[in-house]
Formats: sequence, structure tokens, C-alpha cells
Amino acid sequence: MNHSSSSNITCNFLTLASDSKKRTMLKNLNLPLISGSVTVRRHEFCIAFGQFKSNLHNAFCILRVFMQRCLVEGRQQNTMEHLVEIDNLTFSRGDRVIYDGITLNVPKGKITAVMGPSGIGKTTLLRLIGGQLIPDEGDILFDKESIVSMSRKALYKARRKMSMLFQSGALFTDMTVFDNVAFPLKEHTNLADDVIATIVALKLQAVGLRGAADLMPSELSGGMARRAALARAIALDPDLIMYDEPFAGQDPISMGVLVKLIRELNDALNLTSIVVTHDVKEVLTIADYIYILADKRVIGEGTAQQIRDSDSELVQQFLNGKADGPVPFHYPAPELEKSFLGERK
Amino acid sequence: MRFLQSLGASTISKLTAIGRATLMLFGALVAVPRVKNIPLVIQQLYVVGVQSLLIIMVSGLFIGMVMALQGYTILVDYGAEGSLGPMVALSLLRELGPVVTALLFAGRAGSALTAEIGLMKATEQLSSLEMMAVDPLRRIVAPRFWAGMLAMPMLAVIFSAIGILGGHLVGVDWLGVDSGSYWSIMQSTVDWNQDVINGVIKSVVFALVVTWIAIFKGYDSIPTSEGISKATTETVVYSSLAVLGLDFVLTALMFGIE
Repeated sequence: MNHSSSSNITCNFLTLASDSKKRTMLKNLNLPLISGSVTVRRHEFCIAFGQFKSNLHNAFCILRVFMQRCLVEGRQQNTMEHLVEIDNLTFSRGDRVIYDGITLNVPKGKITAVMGPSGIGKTTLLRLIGGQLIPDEGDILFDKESIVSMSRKALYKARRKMSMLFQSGALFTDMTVFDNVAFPLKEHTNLADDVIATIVALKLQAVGLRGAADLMPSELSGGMARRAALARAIALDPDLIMYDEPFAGQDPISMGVLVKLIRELNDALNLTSIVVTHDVKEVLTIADYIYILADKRVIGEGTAQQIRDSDSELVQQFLNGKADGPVPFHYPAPELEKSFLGERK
Repeated sequence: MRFLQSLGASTISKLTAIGRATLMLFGALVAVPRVKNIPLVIQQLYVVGVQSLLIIMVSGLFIGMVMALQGYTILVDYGAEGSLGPMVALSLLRELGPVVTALLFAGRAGSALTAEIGLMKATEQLSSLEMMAVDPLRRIVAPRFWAGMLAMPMLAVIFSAIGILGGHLVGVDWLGVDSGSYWSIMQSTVDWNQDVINGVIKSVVFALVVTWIAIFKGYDSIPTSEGISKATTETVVYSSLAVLGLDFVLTALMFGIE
């Protein structure tokens, strides 16, 4: 006991002492520090040990990454984990029922598409997931936590893990593209300005707009604005990204760019994506799982192939763009003959 | 029966609107002021305050000049043109300064606030802020509110000061009232607490009302071009009426019963 404490003190003293003092002390202990051959050998040993250490470190890193990947893949294969779970959701605006008990799951790490005719409230669904609207009945789970019953503080915390790409892009018109992308970083992190600049440059590079960093949103084309908004949406590296009609009103080239970006970002950043759209062709190429909504409920779901093979008339009408079918061409109205006779309603 | 029904419906909708407005104001004010947001307030102070300076100064000058001209023609009949100074100063400090500033502010800055916030809503910028976990009440509404509250009393004081100088220009320089009596009778008549401070209090109250109406109308607007144009008009109309109505109430409280 006494011995160990005294050696401890020596050690502490050694670390505290300056280099020259250490030397004299070691000399007094008769250690062969000055001897030339020993110094050389020690030097070689240091290099060899350093190499060994870095090799070992690299090996460990590789092993760790490998094991993580195995774990992640194993988990994905074993139990299809869902990032967003919508359970028996009912929502109405005024007297108009928009959803009547829909159930829908969004698997982690995949692209889930939600399709349906215009005006059935696809955007509303995204707003419900984002907690901007409150459902009448049912529950929405994000990462196993209920968005509906969350406190305001928890909701704002959860929203940091999700982001949404609005149809209009919703860039802040009084800021440059750079400042727009930097905005969430400045609001939610305490990173230094040069670090933020680097992150912004990387995000803009990912969407191909690094050269447009100093432009104002009004100087961007529609497709560029959407890409800039996408860079802003991924600025905080979210878990979930929701695309609201990403392909609407885009020319074929920017549509192709967006399709590529959605797929690549999803895979590269290990995101989970929800794409709300009515562009059938594009969605069938990128989505891992598809839900088709119509008439207040889910009318079809499955992989792209399952959807194509669906025998539901409604699904087929939607996929093939038939003018008339289960979704009628005419807005509900009295018969034409009757309206000629003066009957309006 | 239908009349009663519509009366009830409109009363309920008005009351819920007042409730929503109160909630919005509460949400914006309850936010702990963060150091990060001070530059935003300063930026808005520039937009609503500094950019309104020109219209306020020009109006103040002309109103002061007109007051002196009108006052002189009346006072000179009684040989009391020496009282021109206090007449101009008191009417500006007590009434015209706060009231006209508030009316001009509603037209110049209030309508701009409504249109800006309404358009932010229409272009989904407010929604996207919410989705970025940034509270639009704190980020957008609160800085604009505080900027309005700070700017308007200052503008009112500037308005009165320029008006008094305008009165001096017309009364003393052009119409030949004695400069010494213009200033000295003004100094002995105008009371700091009774006149100056009461004027500033009035203008703080007007600032609250006008800015509140402006940001609420923008925040609550229907996000279409029609909705925003309606909201902008309502901002100017409602805040003008509120200012004039409140002015009577405040005057009665401050000067009515001696």
C-alpha cells in the first residue's frame, strides 16, 4: 500500500516535471538513455509500434463498419421497421371527410410513394405526419412516438428529424440560396460560420447548385428552386424526408434530375422518403413501396410490380390514365335532361 | 330567423377571430427573447421605422405649417397670435402627433406587414418554417411586433417635433409672430407629464393595436391573392378605426376629468 502510493507520486512527479528535469532524474536512476544504439533501437521500435497501432486501428474501423452494416441489414431483413405508422386515421375539413380510417406504414430506409388523383388530400397526409394538422381519430407514429399526442416541445424536437420539400419549394425570398440552406443549421446548431459554409457547399454540390449559391430564389428556374429547397431539406441530415408533388410542372430534364436525386439521396444518406405525387411513370421507377389513395381510403398497395398487376379497376384507371371509370369524368350533377328543364340542383 | 342566424354566426366568427388573435399575440410574446433574434428586430425596425421616416417627416412638416396658418388667422383677430406656439405644440403633442402617425403607420407599414406575412403564408414559407422546427410566431411575428412597438412612439415624437418646426416656419418666419413668444409661451404652457408623456403613452397604445392588427391579419389571411388583398385592406380600415376610437377613450381618461 505504502509502496504503491509512493510510486504513484513518482509517476505524477514525472509527468509534471519538465523534459530536462526528467532527463536528469532518469540519469540518476541509471537508465541507458544517452547510449546511441539504444536510442536507434528505440526509434525503430517506435515506428514499428506506430505502424502496428494504426494498422490495428484501421482493422478495427473496418470491422466496426462491417458489423454495423451487417446489423442494419439484418435488422431490415428480419423485421421491416417502420419509421412512420399511420393507424386507422380519420380526418375531415369542415363537413368534408378527407380520410376515413386509413392505415399506412412507411418502412425505414425505403422510398414510399403515395399516389392518387388530385384533390384527395395527399398534401394533407404529409401535414398530418408533420403534426401541422390534428386528425379526428386514429394515431400517427413517428419513430414509435405518437405525433398526435406529443407535447409541443416534443413535436418541435421530432420535426428536426423530418423535413419536407414543398411543392413551391418555399424558399425564403429575402435570402440567397446559400442563406436558405444555411438557415436550419444556424437555427438549430451552434456550428461556426466556416463549418456551416462547408456543409452548405456540400449540400448544394449534392443537388448540383453550388455555383448558384449567391443567387436569389427569384433568379432560379422552377426545377432549380426545388433542388435548392431539397438542399435545405437535407441540411440537418433528417431521418425522414417528405416530397410534396416533386415532379409537378417540371420539364423532362429536371424531372429526370429530381428522380435521380430522390433515389440517390435516399440511398446515400440512409434516409426514409415519402413521395406524394400523381406522376405514375416516375414513381413506379423509384418507389420501393406504393400506396394508392382514392375515395378517402387506400385502394391499392404493394411494390411497383404488384401495383401493375393489380386487378382493381380503380387502380388500373389511375395507372393508365383512363378518362372515365370508377372515378367519374363528371362532377356530381343532376341528369343533363333535367337541367335543361330548369332544374339546377 | 335567417337574420338572427347570420348575426349569431358572424358574432361567433368575430369572437373566435379575437380569440385566435389573442392566442397569436400570446404565442409571440411568451417567447423568451433570444440574443439570436435581436438582429431580426433591428432589421424590422429599419423596415417599419426608418423607411417610414420620410412620409412621417413630410406629413409632420405640412401639418405643422397648416396648423400655424389656420391658428394664426383665428388668433390674430383676438390679438392673441403670441399663443400660436402653445396651440401648435399642444395639438401636435396631445392629438395629431400620435393619431396621424398611427394612421400613416397603418397605411405605410401595417399594410406592408400584412401583405408580407400573408404572402409568406401563401408561398408556404410559414409552413416550411414550422416543418424546420422553427416557430414562425417567434421568428417572423415577434420581431415585427416589437419593431412596430418601438418604432411608432419614436416616429410620433419626430412627427411632433417636425410639426412644431413647421409651425415656426409659417408663424414666425412668414407671418411675423415674435419668435421669442412662440418658444417661451410654448415652454411655459406645455407640461412634460401631462402633454409629452401622455402623447407617448397614446402612441404606445396605438402601436400595440396597429401592429397587432397588421400581423394578425397577415397571419390569419386566406392564402390566395384575393384573401391577401382583403386582409391588407382590413388592416388599414380596422387599425384606422381602432386608433380613432381609442384616441377618444384615451383622451377622455387623460384630459377629460380634471
